[in-house]
Amino acid sequence: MATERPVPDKLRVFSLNCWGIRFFSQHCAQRYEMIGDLLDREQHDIALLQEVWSERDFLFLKRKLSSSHPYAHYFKSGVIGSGLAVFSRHRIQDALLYQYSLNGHPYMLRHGDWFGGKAVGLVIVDVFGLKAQVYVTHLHAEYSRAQDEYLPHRIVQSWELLQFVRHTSCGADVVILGGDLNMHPQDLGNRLIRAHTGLRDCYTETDTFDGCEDGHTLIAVNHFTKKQDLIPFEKGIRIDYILMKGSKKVSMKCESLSTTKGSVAGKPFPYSDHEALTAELTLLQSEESRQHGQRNISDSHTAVSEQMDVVAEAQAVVKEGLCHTETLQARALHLMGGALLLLLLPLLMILLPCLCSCSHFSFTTTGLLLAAGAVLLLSGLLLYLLFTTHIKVLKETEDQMKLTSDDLQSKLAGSRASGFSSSDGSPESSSPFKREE
Amino acid sequence: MCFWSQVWCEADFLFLKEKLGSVYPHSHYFKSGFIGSGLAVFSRHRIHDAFLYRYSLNGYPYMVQHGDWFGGKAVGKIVLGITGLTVHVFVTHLHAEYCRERDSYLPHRVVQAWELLQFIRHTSAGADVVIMGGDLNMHPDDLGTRLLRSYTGLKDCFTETDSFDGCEGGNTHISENPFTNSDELVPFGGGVRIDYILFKGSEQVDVSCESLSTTKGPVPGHPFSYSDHEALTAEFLFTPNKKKHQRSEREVDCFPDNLPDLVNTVNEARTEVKVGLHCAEHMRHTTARTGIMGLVLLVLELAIAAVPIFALGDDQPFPKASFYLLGALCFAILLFTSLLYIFYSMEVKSLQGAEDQMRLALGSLQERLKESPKGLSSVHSETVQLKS
Repeated sequence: MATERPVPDKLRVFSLNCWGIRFFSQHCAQRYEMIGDLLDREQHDIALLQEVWSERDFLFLKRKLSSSHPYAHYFKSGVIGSGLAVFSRHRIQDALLYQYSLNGHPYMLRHGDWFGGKAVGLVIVDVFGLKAQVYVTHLHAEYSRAQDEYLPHRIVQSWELLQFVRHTSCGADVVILGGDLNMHPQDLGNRLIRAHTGLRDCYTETDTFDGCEDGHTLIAVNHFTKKQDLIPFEKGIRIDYILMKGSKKVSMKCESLSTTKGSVAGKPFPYSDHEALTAELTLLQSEESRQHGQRNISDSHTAVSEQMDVVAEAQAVVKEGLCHTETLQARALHLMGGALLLLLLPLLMILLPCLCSCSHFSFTTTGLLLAAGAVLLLSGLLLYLLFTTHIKVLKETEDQMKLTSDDLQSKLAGSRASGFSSSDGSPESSSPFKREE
Repeated sequence: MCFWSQVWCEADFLFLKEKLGSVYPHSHYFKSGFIGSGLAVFSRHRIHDAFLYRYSLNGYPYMVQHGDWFGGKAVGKIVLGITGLTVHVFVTHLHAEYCRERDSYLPHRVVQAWELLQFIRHTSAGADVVIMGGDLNMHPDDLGTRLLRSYTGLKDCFTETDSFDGCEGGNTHISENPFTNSDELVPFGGGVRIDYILFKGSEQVDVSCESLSTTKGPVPGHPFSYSDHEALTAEFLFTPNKKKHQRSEREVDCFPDNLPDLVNTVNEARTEVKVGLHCAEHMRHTTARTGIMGLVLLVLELAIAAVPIFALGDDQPFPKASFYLLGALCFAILLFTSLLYIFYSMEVKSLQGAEDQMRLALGSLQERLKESPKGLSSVHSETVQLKS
């Protein structure tokens, strides 16, 4: 299939966080109409949507886009999630979902991320005879940058995302990742993903950008945005991305990137509280692409060092998260202990009346104590279960990071001794058995 | 290398790690769920990377006597370098089968088998050798095992090897084992084969299973066996493949010859998942109805409690004790049905997700079948009508 094709193919990719929380998001139905019209009109090759929480909305879009985008997939996970949907003009051959192991807490009802079953969805799409692996994802929201209690969860999600991309994209000609990462470009999770997957940010790669200042995707001038959520970033933040990379067979370039700018011409409100991204990618299949796809040896040393540094930073965050969760687990145990005492107290009073000369313990008080004790015991038990599960996940992530760190260490030591060929972030890249054809 | 399942306690893993430190300097313990995953790998060769995929369905939290839900069952993957070859190793443990005649966990196990095969297919593109070991809790001709083998192209060591030494039929759960409940195995002639080592090579490397052996119950010189399961030992031979194929490495997992069988198997799996989905939706509906009844009862009770406030007299029409007990009961019903509703919603989503993936896969297989000249003549008529 790797024939010489001097004329590059173009691929247009769209990504939008639709803010489709029925009964909570404003003008949900009208905005889905607008989004449907936009996709039908623009005819992007691939559209990646997040926060399509209701399957009914997905089915509405599917019907509306049946002629422009005959292939679609809706990823289901969690209680109301995952909210991830893909619409494609090219055939979707296969799909796989990886649900993140950590995604907030079920008792944080006002945040609600836990119920969303956040995940990364992979679709394999046949594009111009090439195998394109397209990932769509949505990471845990950041509610307070100054005191980000969900940072360890987001780092674990970033780690699992990069691992999933690394392990599943070995045979891919084209890799595209789009979605709402809920992280600024230089945040740890973002750097971790880019360093370890080799994915490139369309915004930084393109020469032609038309959109919000600095590529912001959550802006103050958007009708739906709460200005106080953006503090201290007055104008906006960049938290939605389209990332890409080619392969030995195909080199990729981002010809242009554009975002919506907070309003839609002729409409009273925007498509969503997030801005939409549209990237135009060119795919060049040829022997020459091998040179573009490979890095030279000096870059590899830098890449490996960068990978090691960022993993070390991530390990520190995970360790901190682990300590904090162990504290919470201990508190849950204390809660259970306290609940047991509450349950025992009225029983003791009833069984040992000689100890209690006064008869304050009416039936009502006893009943209330028992009820409170039961509720607290159950809550403590559920919380203990939850935090123990979280500890397992954090420890597993820590172990995987350590393995990777040790592996990178030995790569660096090996390269100093003898030098090696390009490192593209894939797990098998260092195998001397892998022959160049 | 060694794969272990049901190593539930980390202290036991650490004990083994210390004891085996000189023979197996590299190891990884996969952690997930409340007490799981129970999966551990010990290797003489360096482990370059590890990745865990937790199954989205794994029993029910209220089935405490079975306990699978707490085990966080998953498939663990490690990447090894062995004599310059990239070896991908998968270790797993699927949901147990407690009653074969009325297997309420069958949809869960089928979804686990599906997620396992998808994970292996999608993450082993760069491998020279793929090895999978573990307790699948399925017989060799069960739906899940057939699905796994036919869709991944993995070969069963027991059927592939010429040299086998072990229990009759390759059984790994036998009545001679002192820890086994022999009565359960009587319908199966005294043993079942539910633990496997599967393998496949690639364009670069041919892999063959030189020999396979199992333990046979009691360990000589010891009063009992290693476990209630028998241990498997396989010896592989890796032969560099001198022939260069035109076919690219990513096509290896699906052989044209068994496409019609594969289509039938995926269809069969999809039917099982649909059955499970129907049950789960029914349970969710029942839970919702019970919860609403509990809420109505609670509201009614609160309304009755408000009566003395509006009544002229101050005597309580209902006895306090039963009043409070009923209130507590309503509250408990509401609480438990809410938790169960959340759980069944997640179960429904996972089953729907698996069904969607199967439908997509069937579409792709159908396309391939149309393109393949052999497939057109051998496909069954009922498998053609797949579009729903």
